[in-house]
Amino acid sequence: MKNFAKLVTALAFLLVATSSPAQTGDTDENESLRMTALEALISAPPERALPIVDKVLAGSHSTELKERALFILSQMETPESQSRLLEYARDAEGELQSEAIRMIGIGGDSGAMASLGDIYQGGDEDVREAVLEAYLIADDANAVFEIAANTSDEGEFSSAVQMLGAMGANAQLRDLRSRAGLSESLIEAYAISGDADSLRELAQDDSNPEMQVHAIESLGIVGGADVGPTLVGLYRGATNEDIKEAALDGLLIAGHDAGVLELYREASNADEKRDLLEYLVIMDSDAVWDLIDSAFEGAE
Amino acid sequence: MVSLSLLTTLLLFGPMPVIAATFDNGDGWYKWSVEGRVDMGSSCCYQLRGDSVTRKTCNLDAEHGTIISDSDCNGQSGKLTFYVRSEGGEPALVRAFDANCPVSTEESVTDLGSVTLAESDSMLLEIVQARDLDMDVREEALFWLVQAGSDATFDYLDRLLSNR
Repeated sequence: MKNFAKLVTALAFLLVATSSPAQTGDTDENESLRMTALEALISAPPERALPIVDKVLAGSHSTELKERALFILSQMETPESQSRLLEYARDAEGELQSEAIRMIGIGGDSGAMASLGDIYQGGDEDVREAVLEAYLIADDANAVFEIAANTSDEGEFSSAVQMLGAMGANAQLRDLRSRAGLSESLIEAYAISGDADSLRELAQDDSNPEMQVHAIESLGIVGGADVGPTLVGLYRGATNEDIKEAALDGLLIAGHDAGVLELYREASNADEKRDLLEYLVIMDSDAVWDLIDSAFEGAE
Repeated sequence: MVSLSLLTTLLLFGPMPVIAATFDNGDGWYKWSVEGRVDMGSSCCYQLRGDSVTRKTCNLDAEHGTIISDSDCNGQSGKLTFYVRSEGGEPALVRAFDANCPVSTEESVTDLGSVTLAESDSMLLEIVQARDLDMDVREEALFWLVQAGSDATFDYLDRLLSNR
């Protein structure tokens, strides 16, 4: 056993000392091993892993390998690794820079997150998009709110409020209404975030008819048990055709054919009945067949 | 006693000399223990229910993987036990658990005893570099090689991830 142990030890030193992982150039096989090796570093001591990760990022490796290296860097939770990640977020170019920014969001280090604001201000469209994604990943709604509240650029505002909608940041979105005023992108964000209460209020506010129409249609996107009756009520109380059409579109989006059928039965003129029947057909409602049967029986 | 030069030749050109010499008890599991990194965390199988984390027996024959837990401090023994499944004389699966982790299997287990980190590295690295083996088992061996964390392994990683 002793001789065997000596043999194995000698072979071990020889094997490790002489092994040359990429003797035949870069191959898919080596790439796969490199990826595994990198991923295995996630549980290695940071002081051992960081120099290796640094080499990968500085070397001429594939973008995929470098992106994985950035992820490993984001998970190290040491000041040095977060500092390195921030360097890449600031100084790298193209997809690697965007990925480094997103990795800051994944890691969630507060110091690195705090630096994203400066990176956003100095960045191009891709960089700004990556910063917003990082805020989304880290669930930092306040940072996105600040962007939306302080911009005069409509496109930038729209991107930021859409992100707030995706984050379900109802409080920040409502706050924006008082600071930035009402806009179509803000109403869409209410729909994305599922804020039926705000949309219901806007749907009943006829001081801005264009925004009222958007709000009514957006109620259909939010859905829910109360939305159908709300939309039916808006249709019944509509003072113009635009509101009626918006309410019907909302019912169509929400799939509330029972409400449309109710309105059909209430309608008193043929044009209106025809419009409502069209909606029922588009909605592929079974109620249409009941209406056809009733028509044949002479009831309609 | 075989000369070192012949062994070197076998090493560079022969198919897994150490593994072949070691896994000579037929198909089944082979295990060995080695001193691991004390800060590695505990590698075992766990049942997660809400905030509750309970250790459970790892079934070598099942498909589930392993969790390395930072919170199971009482479970850490500072020793890793490697399990390599041999099929037709070749490694087919590599798994590793904390030496304290309860393990079960329906298959035979040949216990190779305690080995040094260098000896363990040698066997795992041989699997990693065996190009005729399935990539999955090579990657498993590489993962656990890194978890054992010897200086030689990090030197190897440095070369692997520096070369292109």
